[in-house]
Amino acid sequence: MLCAWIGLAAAPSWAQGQTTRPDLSPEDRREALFEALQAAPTDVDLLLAYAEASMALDDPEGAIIALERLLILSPDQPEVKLTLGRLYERLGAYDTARAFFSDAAEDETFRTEANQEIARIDARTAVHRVAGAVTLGVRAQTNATFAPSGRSVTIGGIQIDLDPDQREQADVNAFALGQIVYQYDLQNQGDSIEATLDLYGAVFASERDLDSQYVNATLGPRFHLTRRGLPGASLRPFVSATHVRLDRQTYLRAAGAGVTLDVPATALGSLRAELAAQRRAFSATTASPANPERDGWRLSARLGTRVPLSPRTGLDLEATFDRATADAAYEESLSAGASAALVFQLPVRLSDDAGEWQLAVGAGYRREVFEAPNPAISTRRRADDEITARAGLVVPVSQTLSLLVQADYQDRRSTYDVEEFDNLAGMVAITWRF
Amino acid sequence: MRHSSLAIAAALALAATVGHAETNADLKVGVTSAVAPQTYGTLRAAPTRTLSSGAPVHFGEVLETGPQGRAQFMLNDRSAFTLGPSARMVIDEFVYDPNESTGSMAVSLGEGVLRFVGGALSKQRGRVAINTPTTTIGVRGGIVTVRVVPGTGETFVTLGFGEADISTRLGEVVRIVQPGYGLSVGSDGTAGPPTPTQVPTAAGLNRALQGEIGNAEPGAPPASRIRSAFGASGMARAADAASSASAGAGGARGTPAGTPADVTAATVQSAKDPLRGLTVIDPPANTIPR
Repeated sequence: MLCAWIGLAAAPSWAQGQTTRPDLSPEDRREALFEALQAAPTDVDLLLAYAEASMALDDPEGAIIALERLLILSPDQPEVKLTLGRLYERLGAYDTARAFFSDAAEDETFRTEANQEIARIDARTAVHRVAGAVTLGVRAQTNATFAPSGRSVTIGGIQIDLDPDQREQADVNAFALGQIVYQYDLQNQGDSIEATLDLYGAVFASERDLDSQYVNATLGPRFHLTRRGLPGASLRPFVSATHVRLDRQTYLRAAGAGVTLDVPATALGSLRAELAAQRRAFSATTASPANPERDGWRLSARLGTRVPLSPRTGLDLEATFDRATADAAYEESLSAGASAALVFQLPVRLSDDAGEWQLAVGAGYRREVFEAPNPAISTRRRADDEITARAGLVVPVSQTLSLLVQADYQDRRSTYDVEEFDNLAGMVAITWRF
Repeated sequence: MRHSSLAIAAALALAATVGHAETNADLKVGVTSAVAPQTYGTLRAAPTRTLSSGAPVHFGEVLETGPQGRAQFMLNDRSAFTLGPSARMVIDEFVYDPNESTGSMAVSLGEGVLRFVGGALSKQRGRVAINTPTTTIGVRGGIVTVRVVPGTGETFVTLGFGEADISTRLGEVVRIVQPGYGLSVGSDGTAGPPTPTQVPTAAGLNRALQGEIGNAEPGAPPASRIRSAFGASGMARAADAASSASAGAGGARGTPAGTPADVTAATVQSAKDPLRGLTVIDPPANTIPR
């Protein structure tokens, strides 16, 4: 009897002792804390240690249990409420999160933080939502015209020397890129109507015939697939329209449709797959009077994924397939490409308000084969092999502003030497997102 | 019906305790982890007892709170039930194998507010059920808050995380998968459609599940002690990091990719993550063939 009593009395302290053993795995430590809490459920230090151990295991529910227990013991805890709000926000329970933030905002010490969180939630849960980004930048290129690498090219079996203005032209351009997304939440557990608009414009310092504008818009519903058996995923069929201007003339009009599948981050990574088709109508321009020969369909498939390699490193992989039909057989082509990039989250930030720096280094390869020879150039079919290499650094300046520094190199080899080129580009840009 | 489920549950519970003496201690399924006063437990024919923190909770025990009462019960699978004032629940079934993390659990909420936060059992579909007078709520994940109106049995369910299958006595089954959505089941058993839970409703539920100032259990740690310990801990920082992550690509854990909840992160990918796939900042002019 005495032994039994001693054993029972010693159990809590034994269990508590287990929680601090350095050789415990995170799971075993959490289990030891759980056991200790069975004996001392209102021990504040144990509760907080249990909450932290749960967070370390990416289990916010465990932390929520611990913190909500604290609020039963003492409801006057604004910082606990602020933290609970963040945990519920992490889980996507914005109504509960907002309610906790509202409570926390009643305390002057936490009012500013809580109100910022409330504003963030209100933006995320509005029925009408607009989000987007504007990027302004400058780009310098060694071969802005994508002109042939050599001093001469072979056309129709005849070697032709290129005039200086037909060779590589280095140039600098300023550009603006805008991306806007509008969503109307159908209030039925995630389905929405979504419209996107991409805008791009570039002005070159010397080669003004490269001045260009690009508009692409899509519209379609987005269906939430969790209740249809694919947790967290969404499917978006859409119609699309594109308009490109080059050298102050219409270059291309296109319209079509597609479908995108988004699967969110899992242990194996996130996935985006897209199938799209567009009917393209090219316009004859001063520089390309035969452009309409390229009128036809473009069918494209893209599959991209980000695989987490470590908490700070991810691997982006993308594969693309394109099929282009055209009025002229020698403009019809089939292409396939793949790219890979390592993305590093660097533990460096400009201020507490700004995110961490991000570095990406990667490369890609693409092969495009055309259906028939272009009789004006060669009796052989055109086939291109293109490699790209790119490195970029994103430096967040604040919550909404980021600097981007990027360098990329592109090299195309072709059975048509008139299509061969290489180009080295450097870019500095600033992005504002809203 | 209730007797039959109790009998099955008793058999299951006893099967889970093979090799142990059949005592109340063997039917312990968890502990009373916190109470504001006015929390009571009644185990079968035994007299009603006042529950304090640390008191064991048993299979088949009726757990009740008074008008000022609040309580949290932590079960052996690391799940927890928090009861608001004037609530009554019974643990109808609890079978848990900690080695395999398998088993099942069913509770009945007769009236009041209850929040369930899942542990090991709810990781699998069909393992956790919350019964009310008008509905059965199957929980996977997950976090649900349930309110049962006294007398009518009208039930309101809101999802905090995971999935909830609401089965009415009319045979209708409605699934909630989006956190922040809820529905009502009327006293006649008809279920309304899932709709976003309004913030005042969520605030009311939160407050019903918190203690009241000046009404703490004797011996409970004082507010100042909790405040200082919390400030010294790393919890606020950990939660801040977690919610910041939810604003990044992929969005919050419970939300689908590309929906309004994470449009900023996922759809305008380049705004947050301009290097993804090396293709985002790729001025289209350079893709125009010449």
